[in-house]
Amino acid sequence: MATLFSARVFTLAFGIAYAVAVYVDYPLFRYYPLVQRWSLRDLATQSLGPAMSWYGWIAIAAIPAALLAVLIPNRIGDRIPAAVYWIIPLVMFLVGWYHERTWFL
Amino acid sequence: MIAFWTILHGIVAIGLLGAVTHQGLTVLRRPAPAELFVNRFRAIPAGRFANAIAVLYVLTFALGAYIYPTYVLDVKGAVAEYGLRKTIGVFQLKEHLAVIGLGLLPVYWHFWRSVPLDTNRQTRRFLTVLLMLIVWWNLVIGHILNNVRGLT
Repeated sequence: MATLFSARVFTLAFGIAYAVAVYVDYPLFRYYPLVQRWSLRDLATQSLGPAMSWYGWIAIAAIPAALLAVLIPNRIGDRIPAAVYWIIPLVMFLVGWYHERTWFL
Repeated sequence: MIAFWTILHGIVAIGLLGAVTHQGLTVLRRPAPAELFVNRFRAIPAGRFANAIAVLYVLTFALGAYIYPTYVLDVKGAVAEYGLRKTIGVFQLKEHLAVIGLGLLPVYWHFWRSVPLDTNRQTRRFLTVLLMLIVWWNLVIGHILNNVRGLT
């Protein structure tokens, strides 16, 4: 089925971008739920309460992934080997585990 | 009101769990006459579940994302005060696993709906079973954490 969106490209790009964003802890933005405030910068002020990076990691991974999935034609995306999709989730999980390791120490 | 959204999140997640378990166990099954209940449970046209699973996954994810800030404010701090750091860690992994499932969803759908079903069987099986395990893990961990300290 011909579509304007390459699922193979999206998942590959999203997985890599999310892993990198979590590893270097670089979200597109942060959310401060205590004051219900979004910020492109890390405000790091205790009076604002805890910061949430999770939405920002998803956004910084999803935006380029969606753009690439639209821009790269399906005939190229379909050449990505299926084996890649066995590796991507493992890489994402290992990076997530590494980021959260302090909870288990 | 947050209790309503949390319960809705759980109900949709249970629907997703049923669908993805049907499909996941079906792709693991070798073709054979389905006489026992367990085999009948697994002998379904698995491809038909892909759309429902994708929609339910996105819906469950969106509801979880909506209630997440309340969890951070009301639950995470309290659980940390209980000294249950590993419990928080396990929940944090749940959030990463949810994103992994979300990222895999387009290619999972692609392998079910756009690729001929007689090709890439191993990859389709892997993606389906992985999605099933992620959904099971996330529902069980979410339920346990809600028992430790629920959203009110």
